[in-house]
Amino acid sequence: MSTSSSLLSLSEQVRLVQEGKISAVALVQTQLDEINRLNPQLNSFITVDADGALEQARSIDKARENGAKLGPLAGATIGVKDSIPTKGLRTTDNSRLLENWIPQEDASTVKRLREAGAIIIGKTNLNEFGWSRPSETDLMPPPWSPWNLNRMSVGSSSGSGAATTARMAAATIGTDGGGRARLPAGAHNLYGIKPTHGLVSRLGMDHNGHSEISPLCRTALDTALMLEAMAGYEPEDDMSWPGKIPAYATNIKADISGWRIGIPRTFVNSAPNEPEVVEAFESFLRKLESLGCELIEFDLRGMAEARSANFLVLNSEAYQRHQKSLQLHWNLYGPITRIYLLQGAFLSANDVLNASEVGRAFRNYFSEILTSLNLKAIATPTSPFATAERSRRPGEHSRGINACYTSPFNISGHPSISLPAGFGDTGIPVGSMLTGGLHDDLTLLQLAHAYDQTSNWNSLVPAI
Amino acid sequence: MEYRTDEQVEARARQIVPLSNGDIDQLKELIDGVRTAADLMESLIQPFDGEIDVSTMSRTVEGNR
Repeated sequence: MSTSSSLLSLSEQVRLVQEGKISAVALVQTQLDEINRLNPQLNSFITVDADGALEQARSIDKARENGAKLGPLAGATIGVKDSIPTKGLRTTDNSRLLENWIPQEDASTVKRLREAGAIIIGKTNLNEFGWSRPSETDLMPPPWSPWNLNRMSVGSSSGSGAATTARMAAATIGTDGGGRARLPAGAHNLYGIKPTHGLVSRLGMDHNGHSEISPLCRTALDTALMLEAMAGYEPEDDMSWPGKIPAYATNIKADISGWRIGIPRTFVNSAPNEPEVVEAFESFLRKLESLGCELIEFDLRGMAEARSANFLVLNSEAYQRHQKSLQLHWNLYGPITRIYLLQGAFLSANDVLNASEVGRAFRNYFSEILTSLNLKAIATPTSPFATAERSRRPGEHSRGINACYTSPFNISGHPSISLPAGFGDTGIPVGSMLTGGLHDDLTLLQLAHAYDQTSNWNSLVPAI
Repeated sequence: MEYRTDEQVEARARQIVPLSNGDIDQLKELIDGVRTAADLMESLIQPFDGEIDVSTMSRTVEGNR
């Protein structure tokens, strides 16, 4: 089982470091011990930066001894999805193409995390380029779920989900272009927020219009602390939002009684939800009711069309980014990834502009629905499926059924958070999801925190 | 979307990269999905004086009204 300090939430770990009750070095060493114990069987990390993490920890301990004010994430060990560049630390995207790439700069999110005192402990596993399906032929074989070692972790931010839930890091970050941070959050008993589009800058990464950098955490408060550190305007990023960032952590406590939550019942009932997903979702709704929320059933249109729109834009952007490398290095790509990456080659500019236009229409429609019905958020399951294997059934995977709840809100840009909601028959966790108004990420965190305070999901630890 | 048949898809793919026959079979299946999605998008676009009306779109995961 995991050792004591690694069992603490990120916010508790930071408090102990700030108060001098535990040294950052001791905390990092505990996490490294956990990684050494668990990673050989879980494959959660591709690269572990033990020396760099200990060096960062020593610097934090020295600053505290000198009386300096420590950052809001001081001493927190963070795993970074290996598609996000880290200065001086190998970033492979789990591809042979980038097997030895050492970035010269941090992505802006990583830079912000470091400035907040976070310690980057390593790079977490993913599907090659965060795309297609996990494969044994990837540079690093796929991660296994800490909740059932015979099951693959749900991805593509699979290593991030596995590392956080197995207590190998205080928190991790992933990316979410169609649900690929919320889906692993749900499948690892975690909180994972896809922020409003533009809130967390992608500066330093590829230009992907609808993939948001997302924290995966064990508590809602940890999620707020992470998002607050990651968010902020980057003038060089044309997608970055210039507005003021709320103090998410300070303002996370709220009386949510009377808050109206929409349930798109017809849409939810039309999905091929597994029984455990239905059970967890209904239990989630009952919990919201017990917290005083008013549940409003309503008719939500256009989710399938928005999913298709997001699918086309994602494919187009992926091919645009890889077109030259596919031609030059076809054999270095994984055999599944390279086929998936080719899909965008068959789209015309008009196809992509049509998809963007449908996405814009859905964004406006969904915002109007929230306003006209006076809804704080809508609730859905995170995924219709309780295991990664089920989500890859032929004919459903290629149509994105596993992302039927998540991907519409990538093209729309609305913030969306997956919360722990139960466990399936195989022992794999099942999530439920709340989606809210543009730039009202705080409301989602407040709802999640109220829920977190009255649930015991964050105390559950995989028996490994 | 311009590529309507398997032959067109194969010809386009072989212009770009050296695919095996197994690759081609997988790709054709995927492109069916891309074509369906692209055709759906085109069907939703309105004449110049119209707007896309999401309130008349589908209510189900499979895209049924």
